[in-house]
Amino acid sequence: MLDQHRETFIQEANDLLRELEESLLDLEEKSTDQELIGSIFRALHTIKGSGSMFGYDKLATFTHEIETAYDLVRSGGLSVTRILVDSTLSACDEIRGMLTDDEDRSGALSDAQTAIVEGFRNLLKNTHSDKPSAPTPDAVVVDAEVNSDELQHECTYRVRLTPSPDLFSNGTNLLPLFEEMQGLGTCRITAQVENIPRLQELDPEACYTFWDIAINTDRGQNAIRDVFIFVEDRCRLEISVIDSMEREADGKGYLKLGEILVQRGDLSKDNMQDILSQQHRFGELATEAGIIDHGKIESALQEQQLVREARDKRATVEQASTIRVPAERLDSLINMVGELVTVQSRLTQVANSSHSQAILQVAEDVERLTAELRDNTMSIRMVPIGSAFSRLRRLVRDLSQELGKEIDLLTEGAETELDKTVIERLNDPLVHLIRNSVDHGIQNPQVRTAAGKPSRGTIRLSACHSGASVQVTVSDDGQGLDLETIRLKAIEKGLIAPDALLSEREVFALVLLPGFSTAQKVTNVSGRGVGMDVVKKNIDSLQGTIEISSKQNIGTTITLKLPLTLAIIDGLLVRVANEFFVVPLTSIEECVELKLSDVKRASGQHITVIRGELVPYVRLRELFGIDEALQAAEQIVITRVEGNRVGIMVDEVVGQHQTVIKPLGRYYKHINEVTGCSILGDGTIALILDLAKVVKSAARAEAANYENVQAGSV
Amino acid sequence: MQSVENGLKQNSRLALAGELTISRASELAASIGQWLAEQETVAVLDLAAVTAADVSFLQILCAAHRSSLREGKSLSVVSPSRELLRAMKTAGFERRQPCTQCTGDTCLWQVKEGL
Amino acid sequence: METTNTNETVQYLTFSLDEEVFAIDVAKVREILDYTSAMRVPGAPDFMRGIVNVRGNVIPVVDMRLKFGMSKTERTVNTCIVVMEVDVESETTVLGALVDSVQEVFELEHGHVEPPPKMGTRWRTQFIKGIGKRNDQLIIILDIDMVFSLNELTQLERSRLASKATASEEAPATT
Repeated sequence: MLDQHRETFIQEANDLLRELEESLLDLEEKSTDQELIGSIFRALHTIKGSGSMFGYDKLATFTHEIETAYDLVRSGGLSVTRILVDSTLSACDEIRGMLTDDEDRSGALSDAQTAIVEGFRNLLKNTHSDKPSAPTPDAVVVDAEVNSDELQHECTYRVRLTPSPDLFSNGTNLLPLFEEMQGLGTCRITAQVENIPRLQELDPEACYTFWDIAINTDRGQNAIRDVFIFVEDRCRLEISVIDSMEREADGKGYLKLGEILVQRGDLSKDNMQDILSQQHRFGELATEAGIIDHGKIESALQEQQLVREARDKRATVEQASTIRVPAERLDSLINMVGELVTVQSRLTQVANSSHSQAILQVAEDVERLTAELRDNTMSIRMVPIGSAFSRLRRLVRDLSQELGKEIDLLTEGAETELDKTVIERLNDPLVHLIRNSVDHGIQNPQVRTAAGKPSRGTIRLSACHSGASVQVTVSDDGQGLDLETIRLKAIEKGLIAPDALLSEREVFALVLLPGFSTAQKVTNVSGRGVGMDVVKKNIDSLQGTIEISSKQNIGTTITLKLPLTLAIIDGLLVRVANEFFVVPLTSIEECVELKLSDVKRASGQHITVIRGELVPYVRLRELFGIDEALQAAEQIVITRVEGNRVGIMVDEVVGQHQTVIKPLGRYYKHINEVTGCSILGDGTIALILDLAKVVKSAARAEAANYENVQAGSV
Repeated sequence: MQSVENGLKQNSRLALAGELTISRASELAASIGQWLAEQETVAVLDLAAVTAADVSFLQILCAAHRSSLREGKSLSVVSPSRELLRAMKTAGFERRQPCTQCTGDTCLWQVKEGL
Repeated sequence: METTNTNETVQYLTFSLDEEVFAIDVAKVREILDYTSAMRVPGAPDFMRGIVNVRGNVIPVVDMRLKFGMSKTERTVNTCIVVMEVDVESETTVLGALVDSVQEVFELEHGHVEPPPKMGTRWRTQFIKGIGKRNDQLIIILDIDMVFSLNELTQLERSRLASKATASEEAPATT
């Protein structure tokens, strides 16, 4: 039980760390942004708080030191510097390390950690000497919250407005001011009328009333002050923070009625004790005893209620925004929806043959609901790609610093959503591509300036939806790829013949071949040996494609095209004899019918002419050894595989088919040509083809065949 | 001053109208005080035609009510206009419990459940 | 692992392949299905007959006769698929075994199971947990976790696709 909670804590802490890093990097650019500082403080505070709750004492102690610094930053006592950001980033790394080290949760800090803590203490020491007087600890908190201009998060304030009697003499009307207060947030105003005399003694033009206001706002104390700015010299205005997220997080319950009154000075402590000693409702007793005016209790009650409401609201907002669910539970939900889709299409089939209007109607309704259910279920797995982007910012920052380069990372479309699994598996390739751009793409500032470019390089990382897939591009304004260098290297490595004529696109594609690396020197950034072929392998396994384009001295753009999800596929259902296959729709260009006579003319050369263009094709029947009599006519699905047009010959194109992908399981892990399967409406299984692999093994089979024929003819 | 004239005719019932703000505070306090003094037991303020009110008027009402209590009279407000109710609400005069000075059920500012 | 008391009884399900009778621990058996044709997965070894759809779940089917070096299972009225849970690399995987017929469930005391003979059987000893006796008939008790270990099932004699290349040279002659 505890372990499960601890796991959740670790997950959440890692999420927070990621946000924290994000904010820190932003802070470097906007060092006075109170909102950022606030969110950093809150993240640290939460990590510390929940850390100690789950027994990560070391982590809590460590985080506390950093939090202290940001508390000071927040109150303006410490300014944001490069050193501060750097140290905090390293602190994040340490915290992350402490999270994974489950064994040693409460031991002593390591040397590195102690050094960081010392660093922070030094930063603090320098500022404390600047301060005229050290305020009491409790006052620091209040000051911090009260002094900042723009309070970035919601707080509940207690305001007492005591006008001087002559307030009205210049025609002041308080009502518009109260209305303005209502505009700042949720607000409870209580007029205290105890000083109003009888009519005979009343000076009609004097103000006898004072006000207690409880307000819950994210606008900060100064905003409240501003409301009363014109009456300031004729009023006494007392403002204090009575509740905030931090206070709630500290586990402080809100004050009891009596405590509020004592805090306000409306009731003495002794009186409160007296009243409390009697076991009755406090409010009734206090007034009965005549020691306090009803109005004071009224406003204290209002205050209590406001705080309670604000807390409830925060709680519901927190609850409503996210729910953590284990991924397996989602997977099983998706499986069930997949089954439902299958059952539903069977129902539709049955309904169609039943000729019963009533059943047809029901089947239609079920179909519509199932489609909605499927789409909704799929969308649960969708997460914004921004989570993958954020760690790359840190990478670019650290790497460019290490290499003495100046690089900005611009991201676009961070909100683009795609399947969680796709994002997870996209991480490594993206890191690799970014590393490449930093290391090989973008030159040193001097080189760039000499080439007439701005000394700061830019890497642009963007994501957008395009149809049923997501396009992710990584482009830099670096030196670009040199066609000739690549060609020579490929010849040297024996990847192409010296006289091979290749298009620009084909040359760039060489970079993706195993063992190809164009880096002039090996650096510890991009490493040795593993190159773009690993990226390609990763992207392939995601059913994605990769394309490179580059202009020398202008830059390189790498475009990844990925499916939205690995759980569902849009495909074309084809039949060979009585076996069914699904060809991914993304790679399909057109379908052409091929007559038996055309096949004969081509006499097993596996090449056909489609509108004047020679197109090689693969006969699935032959490749998969499905031995049955030839059909009078077969159909060719023209696809584009790795830039080339390839036909896939089948008996029949059944139609478009959107389906839940089911894995074949571990026993078929080594089968390359098939990525999974899908269950058709009648329960039949259709295999989902990996076209690139199908074409590759067809080429292999053909080559072997050719050799055999050669051998046989000798 | 038509309102006060009107009130004099019926005497126990006084209707006030128009903008009851600080500029009329002294005059209003005087008229109400005088009218209230003339009433024996029951006094009714008809505030249906009030088009605006500010804190000064709310104070006058409160003071008048306190006087009436002291003198053993019953002062009540009938059909307050929307503008008056809004002023009461905005200025925080509304409350769930009666003021300390008010006995029983008579507090002008008490919001009854279901109102 | 096998620290069971000698008096403890285990229930076994028996099935036949050709004339031989094999037994497996009933605890491993999930259900028994009538024969349905499996969707062949190209490139897989022949004894991997393909995949079948069991109420929306896709499970692989192994031809036990081919796996044990006999001829391919031909469909008869008795042919069926024994669906079982196998522990592979400390994970449970569901898999179907195509057998000639399923016979019975019986109990056997642990003491009545003899260790596998070192030699003299047609079967590889690492597949055999022990030999039991039932009505004077010898029953081979299989260690199905071993039979269906990943190494056993993914080990390719030769890729079908590669063998297809050699086969296709004969094709023109027949057509």
